[in-house]
Amino acid sequence: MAYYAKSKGQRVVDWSVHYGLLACYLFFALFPLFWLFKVAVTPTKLLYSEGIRMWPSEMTWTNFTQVMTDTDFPQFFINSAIVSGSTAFISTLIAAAAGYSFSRFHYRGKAVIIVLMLVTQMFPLVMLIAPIFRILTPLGLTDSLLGLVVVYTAFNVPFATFLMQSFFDGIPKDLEEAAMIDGNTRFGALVKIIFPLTLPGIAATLGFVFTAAWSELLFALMLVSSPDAVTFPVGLLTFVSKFSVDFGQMMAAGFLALIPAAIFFFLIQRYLVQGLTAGAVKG
Amino acid sequence: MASIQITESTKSYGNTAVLHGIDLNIQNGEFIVLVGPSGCGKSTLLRMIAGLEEVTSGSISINERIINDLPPRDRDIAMVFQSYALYPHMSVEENISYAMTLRKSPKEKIASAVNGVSSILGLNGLLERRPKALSGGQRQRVAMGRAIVRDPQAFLFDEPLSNLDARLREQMRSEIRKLHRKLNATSIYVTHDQIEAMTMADRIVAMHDGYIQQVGTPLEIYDKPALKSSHSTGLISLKARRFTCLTLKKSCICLMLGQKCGWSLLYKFP
Amino acid sequence: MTAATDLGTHPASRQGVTSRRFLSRFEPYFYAAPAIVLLVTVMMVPLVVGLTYTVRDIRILNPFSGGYVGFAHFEAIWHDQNFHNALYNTFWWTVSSLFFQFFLGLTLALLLNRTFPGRRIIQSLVFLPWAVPAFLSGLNWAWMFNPVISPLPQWLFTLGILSEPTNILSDPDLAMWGPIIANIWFGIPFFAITLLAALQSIPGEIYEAASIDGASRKQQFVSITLPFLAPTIAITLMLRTIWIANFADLIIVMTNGGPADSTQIVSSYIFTQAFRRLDFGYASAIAAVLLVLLMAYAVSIIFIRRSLLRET
Repeated sequence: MAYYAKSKGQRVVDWSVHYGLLACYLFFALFPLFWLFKVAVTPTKLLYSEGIRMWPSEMTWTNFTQVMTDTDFPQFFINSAIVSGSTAFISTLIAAAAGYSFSRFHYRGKAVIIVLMLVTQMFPLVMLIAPIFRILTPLGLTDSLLGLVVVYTAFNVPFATFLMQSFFDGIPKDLEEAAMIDGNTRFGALVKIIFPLTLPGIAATLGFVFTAAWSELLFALMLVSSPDAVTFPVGLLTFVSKFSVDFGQMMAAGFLALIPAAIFFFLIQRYLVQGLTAGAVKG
Repeated sequence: MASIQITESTKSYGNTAVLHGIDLNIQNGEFIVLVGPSGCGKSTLLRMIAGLEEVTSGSISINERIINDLPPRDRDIAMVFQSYALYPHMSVEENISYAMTLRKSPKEKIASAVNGVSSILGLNGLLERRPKALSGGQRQRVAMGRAIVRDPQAFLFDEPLSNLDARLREQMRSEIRKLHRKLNATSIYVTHDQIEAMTMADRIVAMHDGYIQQVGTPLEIYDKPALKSSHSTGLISLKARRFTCLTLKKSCICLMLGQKCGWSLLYKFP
Repeated sequence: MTAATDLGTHPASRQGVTSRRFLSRFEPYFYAAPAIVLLVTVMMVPLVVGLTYTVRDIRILNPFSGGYVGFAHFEAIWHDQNFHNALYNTFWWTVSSLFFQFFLGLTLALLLNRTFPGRRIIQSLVFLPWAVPAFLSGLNWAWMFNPVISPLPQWLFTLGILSEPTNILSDPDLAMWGPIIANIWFGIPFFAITLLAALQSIPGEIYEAASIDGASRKQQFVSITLPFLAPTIAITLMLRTIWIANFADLIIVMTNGGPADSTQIVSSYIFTQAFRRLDFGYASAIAAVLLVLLMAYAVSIIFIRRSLLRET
């Protein structure tokens, strides 16, 4: 919004209200996460006696080390990393190809495909839980990381495609035409000219898909039960019911689950608003 | 060097015809300017010659060899784009030498070619820079350099000066002409600027609505403008300026109709 | 007019040409094919299969199930008190989540749409909940409502919002507010990001012109900001409604529908039917009903919007 000439008193009031409101938002946004961390570093013996103290009188990392050594969480973490990593890689590859085709070609049936993709974003995914479970069982894809990768990839491809398309749209068509005149095939121009320019977009897409797969709970609950295929969300959720509640360890584990998503968030947050406004990277 | 023949070429997208039976014979070493309002098909024709658009029917040949289905990379032509289309992730030097690198020319040959071109265009101090760090005029020169360095059969220009300010445009106009005289390469130049057409062309090809309306030297066109072109496009004849009022009205209508084609004729009138 | 007279033909090159034409015609499909194949096999086929389940008796634990039952599932749904309850809860869950997410998100976007020192860091911190995985948000808030390890119930008691510092998640009358608050926390950034992007695309000169014309700040908000935001608001609200109505993760994690089904929404009910009772037929029938309801909602919104636009 524009600036206005104002008296000094008015300005002070104005900015106090502004910062005051922002402080409320900050508190609401960050306090639960702070508390997650606080409980995770509180020694078990102080957990209840100092339950509502803002910071424990004694700090410890034992909850973290115990999670890493005494529980199955390292395995869950690895499972989740494998599933999310493969999903991100495959989805981005497929979405980049489809997004490129949407961005650069006009062809029969394109509108139908786009509508189909939009529709898949609208209907309740819970609808698919039962049929997918029954289809995957005879294929031996339940209780397997591969099954999760296939399902997650399909779920994430539409959004990733639209994202990639917007990045491709941001790169002038002239560039690959120039490259084709310079002596590239279309595919060569894609690899040598367009690909390097889309790298930020590819990174963002990878991140989005990774975090989406990292967070997915319902399908993982349904499709996976044996410990060697359990993902982090499922592990964390079943941890609640399995043991007498060890809040310290649980929150330590939860804090660990937050890390990959938070890293990605801080990497892309610069582009978040900007990217929505401007469309994408411009050369 | 090359002669280019375009024979009864048409172009249509689905059922919409954009070019209707274009016939044009371009001599070796000629500087041809395609001129006409936005949407008249001049750029499409240029892109068909480049191999960026499919030829719906008819044929285009370079040196009497039909090239309709040859991909752009095999046509040995160079093109300067309106947007310059410089590769943003490559330095000026890499931009200029990219085509030669793709053709696996020996390193020494590339180096000497790049040197030659950069001294002709005054790019010597800029070779290490990225396109982002260049001014508009400098970018334009790099785009020119990228075309010249290949020593191609023909040069294609797609409104290459329209992003420059008036003074630079004038300067580049005469430089392009000078270059053409020096290299004497067949050139096809698309513009909607009548002054560019009049001052640069050996022959002007006036287009309208997917048809060629008139072909001739600038003087011929100045003296005997085809009636239709002066009225409906207000473009070719400088005499047409007298009809500015009339043309402006028509342009406004066209502006509304043709906004999505980026009609910009309106701004060209003083 | 000049015409080409001598045109050279090279018949030998024709052979390779047709195959090249063929290839270039199919190139776009080639790029899009993997995505299409995946979507059809993993989403479209199961969707259709799922629709056939609605008229069949499919219970994984019962080997004799599988037969055709006609509309029995839909009849059962019609009389299912739990479903009615879930539908009612879905309505409250969606409306209250959306209401707070939107207004708090809009306010935040307006606050951030100014330049001030510390803006970038504040923006990234305040958007952070958006990056927290949904299951973790749910767990985190479930812990926050636990009076033993969190000060939150005590605070709510001090503020007079709660009559006792207890866990609201175990009180059937209040439990729904647990997931709703978690959802608000989780969803404010989404609205703020989208609306901030829309705000930043409004050209600044318009405000300058308006303030020179004598519009007060409030008038500017009403006559410039809101009309500019309207299209974004309309589309995000519609999509978000559908999304929230479908969003079962928080509820499954925080309350699992309880206590006494007081937080069961339709999508969590579907999940419970499929996951705990393994009654796929019934679950699919409910899912189909939900799909129809949501589609009816979307269509009616679009219709209302059309007719409003026509009037103005």
